[in-house]
Amino acid sequence: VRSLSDIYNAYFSSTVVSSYREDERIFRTRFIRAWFVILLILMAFVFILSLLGIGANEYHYFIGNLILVNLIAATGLQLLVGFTGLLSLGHAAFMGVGAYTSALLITKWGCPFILAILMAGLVASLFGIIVGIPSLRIKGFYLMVATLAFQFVIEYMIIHWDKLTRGIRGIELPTPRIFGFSLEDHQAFFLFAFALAVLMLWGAKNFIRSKIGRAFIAIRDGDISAEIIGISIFRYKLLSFAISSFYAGIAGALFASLLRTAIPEDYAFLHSIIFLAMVLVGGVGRLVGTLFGVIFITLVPVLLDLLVSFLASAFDPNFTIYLGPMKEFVFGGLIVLFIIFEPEGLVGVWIRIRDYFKIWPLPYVSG
Amino acid sequence: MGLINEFIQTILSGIAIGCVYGLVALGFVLIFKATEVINFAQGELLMLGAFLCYTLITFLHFPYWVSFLVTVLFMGLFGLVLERAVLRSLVGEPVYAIVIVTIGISFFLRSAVSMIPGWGTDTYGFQTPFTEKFVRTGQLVLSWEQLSVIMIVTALILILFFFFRYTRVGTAMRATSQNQLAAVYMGISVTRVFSLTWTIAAVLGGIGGILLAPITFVHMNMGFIGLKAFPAAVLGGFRSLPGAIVGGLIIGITESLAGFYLPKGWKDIAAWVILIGVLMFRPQGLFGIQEKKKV
Repeated sequence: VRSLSDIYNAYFSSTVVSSYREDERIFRTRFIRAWFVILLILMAFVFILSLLGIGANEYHYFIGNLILVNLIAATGLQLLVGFTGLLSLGHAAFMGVGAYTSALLITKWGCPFILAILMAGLVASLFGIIVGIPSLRIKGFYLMVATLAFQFVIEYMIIHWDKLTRGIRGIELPTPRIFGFSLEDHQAFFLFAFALAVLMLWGAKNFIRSKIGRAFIAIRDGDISAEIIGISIFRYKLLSFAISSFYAGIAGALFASLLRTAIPEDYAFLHSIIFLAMVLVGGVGRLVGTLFGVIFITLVPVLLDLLVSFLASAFDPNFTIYLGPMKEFVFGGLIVLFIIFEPEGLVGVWIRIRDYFKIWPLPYVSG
Repeated sequence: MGLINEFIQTILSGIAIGCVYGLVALGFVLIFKATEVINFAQGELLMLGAFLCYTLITFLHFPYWVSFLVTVLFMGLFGLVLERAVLRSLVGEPVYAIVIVTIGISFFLRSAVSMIPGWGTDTYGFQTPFTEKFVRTGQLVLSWEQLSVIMIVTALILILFFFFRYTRVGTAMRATSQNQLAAVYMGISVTRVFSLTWTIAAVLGGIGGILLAPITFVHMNMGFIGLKAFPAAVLGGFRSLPGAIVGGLIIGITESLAGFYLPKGWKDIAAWVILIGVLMFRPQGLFGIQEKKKV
């Protein structure tokens, strides 16, 4: 006779897998899938409400767009850092390559938005392969240095190749349009970016659960061992760089179109670090972690801005001057504290919560 | 004659700035050798030292050498506390996590400095005994500021050399960087060596700040010099102390020449162009040793 909790566990939260097929499922348990569907329905609800003018406004959607753009870029970095174990300090530069590729295609040749995004991804991944080539000879520390060098060279090129990139003045972009629809307001842009982000995340998940992802993980966990079992390290490292920078390129193109301008400072070294922080704070080697990290790191400055402007209006307008550098202060402090106290990242917290809820309605009878 | 003088003067200012790069690079290398961590906050330690010295001279009216000494002491203490409070609890974490922590520290320090009243985001300068003094030999005019940097750095290098070569503690530090486990078995307190390493690195950073202050002035972003010293350390092999100094000099001189003879902008990128060349043709650096890999 099966107990109630057995039936519940078997249906909702089976933790035992009995085949590779089950092991590779995107949603491990029905429970997780159910929550995902609930989340989607909630988002659709909020979206429809805001169409009627209730709840979220354009500013909220702008923040949402920022999160989606960062999510796409950080997912690429997660594949490289978290799954292949290659540290990159130049992710923002790849994003910059994507942004400027799309900006040039759109403004100089009138290329359609969608095609420009795709081309941005491809050009960025070409750069990724070039940066990845030294990974045949160098790894670990020196590879990190190579990506750092790439970051500064790209930054330099963007700023000083005036004829092409217009230097620090940047390139202005027209309102993005897809198939005749204008993405003028942030809400419409959000719909497009959301679809794209879901597609990219789905792609990343599929990379991870396929042969490619297993090769990445094998390289991360021991590259010489991986080579011995027949994985071409060089090919998969290059592939990892290519995929990672493809994601960055797409995110860059999206970002430039979101802001309607491509300026060099958006792709500076600082942003490479921020992406790395997103991956780290979220949780290395966990795709869900990227989502948490991105939301967290993107929202912290927004909330700080709110706090500072609230304090300024409540007490003293000079607060904004004194607390201006607060963002970096808190950002730096957060990274340090997170790695000291929660080295698993937000995903560690998430796993604890999830494990609790896996057996949630019947906590004591599970066996 | 004019051309040669120009050339010599460019080289000399390159050597002076290269000495500062070398000092910062020494900080990188010391910490890397002992703990396998790249300390991206090294440049910010330099900035902190410069601000401290500026405060002591300008607000408290201390003489230059007293300020120098107080800054050195304080920076040593700061390095000690930093290691104790933050980095010791990270032993055993993956290296990239610690690297990110040091970047976090650098953000933290930079923004903290910009929030302190009297420091902020402005640019400052202070008087040293070497300001506005020159040596003339023939047509050559050498400024004391540059000469003093070169002399102080040379003295420091000699002190460090004798420290690592002939003192008990220095030997313990070398032993730790060769093999931590064996060092523990020999009765060396590795945690104490780590503390001392961070202390020395912070002191070197602080001195670098004091020396750099008359050349580039004191401001919150002067720590970005770390981004030039970093290629210098890589060029030297990242594990070699003389390599760091030589790397710093090469980067400094190249940069100075590029600034004089090449179009504008090349100066800032010269260090990175050299770095890419090194990574392509001799990734282990000038003084490095190719490491054997084991499964």
